[in-house]
Amino acid sequence: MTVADDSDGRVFVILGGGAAGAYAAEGMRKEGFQGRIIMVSAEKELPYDRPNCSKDFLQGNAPDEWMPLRDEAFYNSIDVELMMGSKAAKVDVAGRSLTLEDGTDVPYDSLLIATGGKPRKLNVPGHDLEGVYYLRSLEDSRRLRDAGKKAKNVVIIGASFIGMECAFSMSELDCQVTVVAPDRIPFAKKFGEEIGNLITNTHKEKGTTFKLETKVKELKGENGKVQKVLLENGETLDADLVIAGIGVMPNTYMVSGLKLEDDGGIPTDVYLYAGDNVYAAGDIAYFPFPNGQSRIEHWQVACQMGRTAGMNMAGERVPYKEVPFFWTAQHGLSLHYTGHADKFDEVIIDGSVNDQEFLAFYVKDNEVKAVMELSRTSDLAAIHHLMRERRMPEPSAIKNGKVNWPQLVNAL
Amino acid sequence: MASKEIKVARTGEIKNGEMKQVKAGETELLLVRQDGHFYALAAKCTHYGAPLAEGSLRGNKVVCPWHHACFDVTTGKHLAPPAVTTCPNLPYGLTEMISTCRYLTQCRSMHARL
Repeated sequence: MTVADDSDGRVFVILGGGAAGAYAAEGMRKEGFQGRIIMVSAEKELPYDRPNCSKDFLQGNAPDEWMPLRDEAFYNSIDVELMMGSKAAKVDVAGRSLTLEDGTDVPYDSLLIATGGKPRKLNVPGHDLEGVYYLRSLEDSRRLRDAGKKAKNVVIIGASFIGMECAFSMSELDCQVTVVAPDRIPFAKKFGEEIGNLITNTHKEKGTTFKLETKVKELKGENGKVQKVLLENGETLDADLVIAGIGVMPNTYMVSGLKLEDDGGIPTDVYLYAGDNVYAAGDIAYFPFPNGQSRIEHWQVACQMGRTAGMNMAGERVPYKEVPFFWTAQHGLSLHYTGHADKFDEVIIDGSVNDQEFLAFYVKDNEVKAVMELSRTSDLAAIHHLMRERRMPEPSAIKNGKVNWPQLVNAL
Repeated sequence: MASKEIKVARTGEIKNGEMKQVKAGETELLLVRQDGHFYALAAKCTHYGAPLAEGSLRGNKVVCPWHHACFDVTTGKHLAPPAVTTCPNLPYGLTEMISTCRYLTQCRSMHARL
């Protein structure tokens, strides 16, 4: 890979040390950029494997050495200057400068904002009691793992990915877990009711209790430590540990001079360019997907956007056009999802949800927008090729007969 | 160190456009036949060790069955995340593996030199 050369006086700054930032740095050097690259991250850790923070690592089943994506020697070898543990106070787009909380100015020629999300905070009485946790970072995961090992009754607030993966992981740490969420069936909106029920029932079989269609009203404690969770339906739950997984917000408080979306997301074009020598990638990027402008908060998307943004900053002109992908692991259910469907008219199931062996096709406007699998990994890998090349069959063809997916790819 | 050759497969076992995982001593290899050529690379994805043979091959691109990382089977080059280029957990790099095995191309039976 290319390294820095004094003859190129440009400075590219990457704000954020997550997936997008890490892949961007490598993308810049791969494209031959020879100026300085400075990575500024609020976290002390080098870029790491964030998806594992809610899974094996949280359960104590992944050693520390699995977590970094690259070591410091690697970043030294490609001349990436690391400013870890440095919080940004302000990005001055007009002045092309970043100011850190300690007052240091970091001028740039081109900037990538890849600051990711920050967890939404609870807004109920008692939210600041000891024993209330959020999970975003590796450091959060370590603290939560230590707390989980000592805890008995864990209440999880929220039944989306972070909430349910935490429910799984805390149950693996032998905690008694209760999930509180406003949903009628967790994941029904994202995956359909049948699969939502499969996931929920799998958690129940492992001893997790659900309090659904209700919300938390108040947290109560003694000596500053949480002890009870009061619900709007009148129930009271014992809790020595509370985890709130109620979504994330784009972490763009420091940006001024750019037009942001209402939620703080940064609109980009297909090259991840936001304007005024600023690029944005990952959870914060409001990207013009084929189905419309939206933000996707998934790891693989952040990696790929970061790499594309880095390449474009270095002088390439490649649009981001990958097919989004994510996975989740909960009590032995390893679900993989390709594509993107915020909404769907219909779910076509090939296989059996009860037997935990299926492909689920999410159809909107007579087009397969996304596919999820359980125990059908090879088929979904084949479908990834078809989706990337926009060669997915019509929903009617999937409904009418069994499609041989690998054969379909071979026949392309 | 003297090298030794181990027979890993017969060419007829792999049709064009197919992949097969084989063992060379203690080492798992992925053999690929594409456009009349054979290629060999590490059998497991550099991300979390999934068997790439269970993924999907399209042209020179193999998509990993677990988290859909993508590699070029002719070079081992990492094309799509979530993996990074090489995996420090493997006892060898993909490129090294390929150069070790490249000479397998178009033999009647395939041997790996270890």
